Amino acid sequence: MPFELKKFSSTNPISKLIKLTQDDRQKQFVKLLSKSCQKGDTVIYYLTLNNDICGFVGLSASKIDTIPCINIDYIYVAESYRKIVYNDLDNKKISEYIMSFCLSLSTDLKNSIGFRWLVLTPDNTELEKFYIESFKFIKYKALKEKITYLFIAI
Amino acid sequence: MAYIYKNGKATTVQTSDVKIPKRIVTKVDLNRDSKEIIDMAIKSVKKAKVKYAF
Repeated sequence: MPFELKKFSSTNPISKLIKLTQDDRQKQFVKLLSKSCQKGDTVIYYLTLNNDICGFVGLSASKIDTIPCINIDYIYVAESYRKIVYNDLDNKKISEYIMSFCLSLSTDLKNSIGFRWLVLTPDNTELEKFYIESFKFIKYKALKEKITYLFIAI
Repeated sequence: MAYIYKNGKATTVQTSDVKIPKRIVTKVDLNRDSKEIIDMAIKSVKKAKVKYAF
């Protein structure tokens, strides 16, 4: 099978992930995520196609207000793999497959530990629109911090 | 914890002190689309030809 999903847990994967982007903003997020993974705060799941990393997601536990959540820290798809629909991913793009995996994993976890929502903070309005339209996330913009949160109940 | 980009730097912010209005909590919990979306996601992940190597 050419696609494989693997994970980094309690290690620092920066050398494998940082080379996926040339963008300084994205590199900063990768550094932050890798540190969090090393500390054990985040687990990074990464998808490979013929052993080439095509995308990854960092997941952690968090609390928003008093609501226990699974947090999507950061999702990234390598530029050369974006916007392509793959038959092997059930006719989905890599971003859609990764999000579906997050929802599926969250459902599994909910049977073992208590939490209510999956949450993410989109990096831009285009992504915000994608998550709301494709996955029916509910938006909340915290006025004080000016941060947009997207929630879906699991 | 949330990852954000502020003043030219990626950083994390605490989320436990964020107050979510009750109308939003109700809207999320009663979102009828979420069950369908999650069911579709689970089916899709099962159908995908991906080797789970963990």
